[in-house]
Amino acid sequence: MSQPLLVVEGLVRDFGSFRAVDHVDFEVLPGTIHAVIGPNGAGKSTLFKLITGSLKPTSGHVTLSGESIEGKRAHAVARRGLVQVFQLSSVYSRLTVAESVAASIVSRRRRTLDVVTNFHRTALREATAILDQVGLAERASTIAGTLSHGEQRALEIAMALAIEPTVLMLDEPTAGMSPAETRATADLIVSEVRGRGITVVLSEHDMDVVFGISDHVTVLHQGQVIADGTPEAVRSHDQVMAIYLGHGAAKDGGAS
Amino acid sequence: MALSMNDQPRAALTTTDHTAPRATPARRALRPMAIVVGLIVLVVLGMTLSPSNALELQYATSLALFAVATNLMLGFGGLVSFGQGVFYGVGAYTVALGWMHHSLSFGEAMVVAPFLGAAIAVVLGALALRTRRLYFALLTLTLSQLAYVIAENQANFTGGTNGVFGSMVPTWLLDPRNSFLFTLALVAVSIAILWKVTRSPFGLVLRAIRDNRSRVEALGVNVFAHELAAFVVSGFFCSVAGTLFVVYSQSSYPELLNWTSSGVPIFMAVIGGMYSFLGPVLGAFVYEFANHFLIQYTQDWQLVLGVVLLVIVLLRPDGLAGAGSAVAARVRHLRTVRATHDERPGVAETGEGDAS
Repeated sequence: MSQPLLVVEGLVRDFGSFRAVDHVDFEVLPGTIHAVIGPNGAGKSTLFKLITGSLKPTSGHVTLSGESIEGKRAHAVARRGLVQVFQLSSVYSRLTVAESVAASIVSRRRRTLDVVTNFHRTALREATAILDQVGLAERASTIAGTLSHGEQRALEIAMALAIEPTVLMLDEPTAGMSPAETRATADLIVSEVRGRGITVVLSEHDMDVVFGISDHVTVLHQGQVIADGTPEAVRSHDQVMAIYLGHGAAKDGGAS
Repeated sequence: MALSMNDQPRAALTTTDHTAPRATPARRALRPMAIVVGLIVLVVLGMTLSPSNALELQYATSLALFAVATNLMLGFGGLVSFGQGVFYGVGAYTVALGWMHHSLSFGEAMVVAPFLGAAIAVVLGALALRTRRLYFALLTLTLSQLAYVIAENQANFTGGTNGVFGSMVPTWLLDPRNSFLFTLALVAVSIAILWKVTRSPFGLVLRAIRDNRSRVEALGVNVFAHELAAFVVSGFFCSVAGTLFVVYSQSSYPELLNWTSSGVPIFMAVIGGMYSFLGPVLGAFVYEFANHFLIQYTQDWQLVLGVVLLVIVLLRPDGLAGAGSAVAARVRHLRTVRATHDERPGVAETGEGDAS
């Protein structure tokens, strides 16, 4: 067995008297697609924020490649190779598609304070290759804010890929998508993200996607892990069936 | 027979389109040519206008730098600072107080002032950039009022409410032509440096921060450090503009530090177009022209200014420069439609997006 890449231990986050994340433990193995599922309010988004550094945990530990990252700020966590794509679309409204990806390349190469060179032009050329892989090559000079919803999500994945992360956290990557867009996004995650050896942690409401592409599933309910294992093991877990999948059709998992 | 406008999707006029041909070399050469022509026109005007009008033109030129430097924060960084007057005032006071206290020669003060402005920007920026949006605007406004009160109250050092007046510039600069050319040269070099700052990896990241700071943060950029860097560069060049106020007026007074002084370059940037690099230059000349001439006809020129601003913000948030490029795009579009005469969708603006 390989060493886990990302380890979450005893993670707790309180909002006043409400405990949103309650002693969560799980491990993510390198090169896998690891899904975190659970009904609305289960604590998935909070858990993601605690891991990526946009929220500070009340207690607990997060370790990336053996290095403790809990409580570090978001840009410092990203620097260590863990990059998040947000649940809500958040492209740069007035930048072109190519410029959006070029900004990531400038960040990865640590040239963000460079005011002297034309490295941004080099980055713009490099961006083309990445846009090609996510199917946006033809939109390179389009203003990002005018893209369709599905294209914006693909652009966000391209912006994250350009950082060359070791772990990519995808929060609800198919939210609000048509079935066709959902399938295209799932294919993109398998071929272009895992295909590059990038480890994926995703939260997802579409059970076809979860059970179709995941190697490992962690189920959250009321801030606690109630099941953790292979998709097959989780699917046959009694408590999951009762609390989670039982709420509605397995298709939307009652999380819509 | 030309096709009517309605045959084309309207969106094609405002969004970029990858199918459109890239800007032709002729069009690309247009902007540098326009800049050269603009500079020649300014020099000719400065040499031929009456001394008092030439002096007004000189003042407008120095304010153009103030507006472009402020717009680095506003249009490129997305940060509304009501404190840029502090740096403008620091520039002016460095020259004036250096003269009054016999501590700095004019030349020394001109060199020291921008670095002093930048140093103060490090401190004020480190404080103010901890906050966002409205709170940032209010905090910079507060800091600027603080500077204003200090300048007014430390009368022994600053000359108090009256400020400092005197022959603080070298005699060769008292000649209106020399003074104008000196201002134009310093402004042109400063704006060229600011242009390079915006056309750099840093400029790209700054515009990304403007559009979505948390996204940039999540991609590994320390947003605070970059906003601070923009604040310091802006402060540096606002101070250069402040030294040129002394060249213009041979004085410095607390009003320069007031928040109303900080509002002027913001007006100019909004009028001219804050998402365009040279928009604020246009805005500065339009504003000063209006200020100078309207005031002869109406006591309420600020009312006129207010109405103009309101119209711009409501109808054309990208200012005169934005209106100009929209007209240019429409003309090109119509021309292409006429030229092709076929059913293919029309072409639109190409290029690198905004702030160009």
